[in-house]
Amino acid sequence: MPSPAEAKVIACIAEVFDNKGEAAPPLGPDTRLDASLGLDSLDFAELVVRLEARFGGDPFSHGASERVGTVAELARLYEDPRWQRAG
Amino acid sequence: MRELLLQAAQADPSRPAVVAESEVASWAELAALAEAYARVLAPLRGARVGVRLAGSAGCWAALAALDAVDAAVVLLDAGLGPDACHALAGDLGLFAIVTAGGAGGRPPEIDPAGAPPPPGPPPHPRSVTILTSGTTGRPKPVRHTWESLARPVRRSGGAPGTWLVAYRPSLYAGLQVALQALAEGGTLVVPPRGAPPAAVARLMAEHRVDCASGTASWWRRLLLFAGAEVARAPLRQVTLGGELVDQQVLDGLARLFPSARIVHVYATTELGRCFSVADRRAGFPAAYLGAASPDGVELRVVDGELHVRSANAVPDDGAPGARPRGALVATGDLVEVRGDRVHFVGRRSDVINVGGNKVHPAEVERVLRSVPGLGDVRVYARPSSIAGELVACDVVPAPGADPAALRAEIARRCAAGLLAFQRPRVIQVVGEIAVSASGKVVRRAPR
Repeated sequence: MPSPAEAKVIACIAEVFDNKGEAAPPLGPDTRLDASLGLDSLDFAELVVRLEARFGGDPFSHGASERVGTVAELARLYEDPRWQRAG
Repeated sequence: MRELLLQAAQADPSRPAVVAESEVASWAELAALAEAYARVLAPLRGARVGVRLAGSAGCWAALAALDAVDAAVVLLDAGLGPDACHALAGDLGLFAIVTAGGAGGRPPEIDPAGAPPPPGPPPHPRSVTILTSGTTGRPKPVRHTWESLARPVRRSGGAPGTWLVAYRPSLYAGLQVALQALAEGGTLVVPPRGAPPAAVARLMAEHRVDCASGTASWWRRLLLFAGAEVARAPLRQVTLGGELVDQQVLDGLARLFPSARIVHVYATTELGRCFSVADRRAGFPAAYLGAASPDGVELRVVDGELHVRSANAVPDDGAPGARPRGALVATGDLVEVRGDRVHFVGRRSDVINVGGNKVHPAEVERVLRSVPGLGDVRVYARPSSIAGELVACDVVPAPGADPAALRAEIARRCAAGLLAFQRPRVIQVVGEIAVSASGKVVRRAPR
């Protein structure tokens, strides 16, 4: 069962696929955010804009440089108090 | 200004001159108002004066009166509040601010603005300073004269027009329409500020407007929300200007007004009117490039940007906005020459940089405008921490269109018709497209 933050990340990834006119693959907390998923760097940039709208902040504009390998890791980054309300 | 007004008043004194603020003033009334105002405004002889220009008969009479007393006028937007007016008055060294009412005979109000009366002869008598919004958000003064403003006005010799001005009267384009109506002895119709499209269309039909001038954005909005009503106006001249004119809006206008002359004008506040095109095709003939036109305008393409030398430019007397005499001025408009046509690609400052790839908003808008159910669209840059910028858009669904279906169709068309970096990554459904005070689409926040 994904956590609420993971569910938000999953919903945003699904939107990015929608906006490409493609069907999203099955997504879960362990889904890897690499080339195998089918998102390129611009899609990831779009994902970050969508996540900012959902979470109210953008860790990457404030210097977050963690390696984000999976959906769960990305969700954790957005829940990290260091980036909370970091817009 | 004053001579033009008196000439028109002699030619057809009972013809309506100005329709504004629910009042109609005839040419005879306008001329009488101007003469009366010249007495009231006589103390401002030679002074630098701000005029709040709403577009009513009283405003035009006040301008003619100030011309008669050799004042140097600075045109202020009628929507400016008292505080904003006084701040500007300080910046611009204004002696007074004049506010004129309608045709009802109420004399103009003279509000002392604090600057001391100018000693000796006025520095720039009979000049007309226009404040442009520019890209910085701070108004930039551009000083014309009545002569430089009137120079491009054409007297066709045909029947005088009833002109609807969709621009604010205090801006270059608005003044051009007013001077055109004045020079023809026609009628100027000024819609109330912020009037919805349906109300503008009703005004046009009621007053038998046969010539109308506005930005491409203004015409699009009018067609989208009041197409059927506006078709009742007997338009014989449709003028577009101020921003890029695409084929879709020209085609839409041609369908609605098959017998009208449809003209797009290229002009800037500093360069004045440069050229116009009436063949109902976007862009302009490549034959316009090179040698100067008989009108004294020379066009060149330098590194993909339109450069212009214009005899209609701000007079070269050290005025704000003036360039060294004869200078070729970079316009900021990017163009492409394809065959016998020069096409506008967009403003240099509007280019979106997506991870190092350049995107012209107009190119993306062209694809989006072909989506069924789309009423209007604005494409702009959205800052991105990952890619620098991404393409974003606001879309207005056509009346009756389903927003969710529209989003899906936009996604489908963009995936098929645009490169990945050109695709709008943020799509907002909005009620209407935001435009600036000059009626143009805003693609960059003021910096």
